Amino acid sequence: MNISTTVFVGIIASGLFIVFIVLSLLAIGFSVWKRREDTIKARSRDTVRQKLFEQQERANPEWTQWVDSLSATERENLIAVLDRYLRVVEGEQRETFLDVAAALGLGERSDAALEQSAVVPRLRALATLAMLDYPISVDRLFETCSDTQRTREAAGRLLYERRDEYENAARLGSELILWDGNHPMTIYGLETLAELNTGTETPLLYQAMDSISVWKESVVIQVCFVLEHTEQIDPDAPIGWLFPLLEHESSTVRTAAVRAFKQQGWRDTVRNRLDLRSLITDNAPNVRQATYEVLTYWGDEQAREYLEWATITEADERCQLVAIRGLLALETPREGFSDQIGLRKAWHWVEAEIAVSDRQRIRTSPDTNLEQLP
Amino acid sequence: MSDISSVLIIEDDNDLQQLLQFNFESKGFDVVTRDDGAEALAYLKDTDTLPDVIILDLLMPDVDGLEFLRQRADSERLGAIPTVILSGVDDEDTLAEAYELGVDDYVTKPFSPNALITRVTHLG
Repeated sequence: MNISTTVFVGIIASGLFIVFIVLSLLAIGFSVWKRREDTIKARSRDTVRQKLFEQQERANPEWTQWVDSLSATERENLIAVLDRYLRVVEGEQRETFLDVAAALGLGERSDAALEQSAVVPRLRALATLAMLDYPISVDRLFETCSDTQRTREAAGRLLYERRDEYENAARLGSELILWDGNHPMTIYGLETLAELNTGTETPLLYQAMDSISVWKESVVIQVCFVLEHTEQIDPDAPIGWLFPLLEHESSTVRTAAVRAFKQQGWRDTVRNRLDLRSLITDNAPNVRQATYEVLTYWGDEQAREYLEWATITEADERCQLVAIRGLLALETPREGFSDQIGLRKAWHWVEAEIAVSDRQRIRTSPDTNLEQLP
Repeated sequence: MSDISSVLIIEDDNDLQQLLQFNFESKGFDVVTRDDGAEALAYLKDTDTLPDVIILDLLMPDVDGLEFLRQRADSERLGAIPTVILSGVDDEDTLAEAYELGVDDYVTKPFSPNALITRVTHLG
């Protein structure tokens, strides 16, 4: 290596070292600055929260005047505090916080934000509006929020959270979330759709009756999933559209359809019309397994008989386990039943599962003497 | 007249902790707050004056609500303090486990602070 090369390498090394030092100093400087900012923010939040409580104690809080007296930073912190409180507080104090939100003009601000083309500000605005009592019309929601799946779901959520204020909130919310049936829903959308359809009315069943033929297969599966997890008590709600799905070419759709019947067991018409023999002999194990789970959930005499039959005839070991689990959850089978050929191994497996589960449950009890456990 | 005059609030959410403190103090209670189960257990171990009631969140860092309850159940001294869960968790298993571990009441969020105070008052 000659002298000029050595000098060149030295210069490069020195340069890199200087860059390293500068970057390190910048990183340290930034973290110190950020920490200071966070501390100031937290202190300001503590201060404004305390001021809010003190103001609340007054006989006449005059929220508009009080809010006007706050600095811009304090107002931002107050909005953050209210956002938290309006999510967890009910009753008289919630009314107070709604008054403060009104004095801050939160409703007007959020309403105006719905005009933005960007999705995130609109989602934030809808989340805020869902907590407030600021009047916002259904037409306005459809006009400003129906362009993307995420905003439709957030608007549907608003209708659910404020369902007492809107006529047909369940139907309108479901319409928004499902829209044209071509956009798979997020978990948030599914959960909201289930909430909207739990209880006295199930508009989802009517929508499905009218539109299922044009919905995407993935959406049909999601709708079945929602119905599986939604308690329905409307005796007149249409369910006939669900039966043809049991003969769908896709076993995933058939499985989802079977599970969608889970909450329909109370309807005699449904139980009588379902061809259970065909379902427990379906060539897809997933369909048979779903059928055993639904039968276990129904738990009637006919369900027991089918499960008993399935435990003996089921060829797939996993499905057989599900059938045995179901049967044991419903009854203590007659003596000698588990000794039948082909049944013993799976039966003992499920019995061992139950024993382990019992031991775990007993162990969580503070009164348990662990030494006496088998 | 209730015998309950002091409350230990174990809640990691500062906004909520302060809200609870404000409401209980407004009604004349002495309030002590701690951010998680570990801090609360350390406080309860050291203090000479035990609180009349514990308000306990479930989801907290370090020692969470259920672990706090397990340790409380193991202690004769702490086991006698009435405890109310205040949590957003409302699944059946957690509810069952909390009652098995000896909680006296279970309030789910969203909640009414006034209703919570009424329930706490009637534990005495």
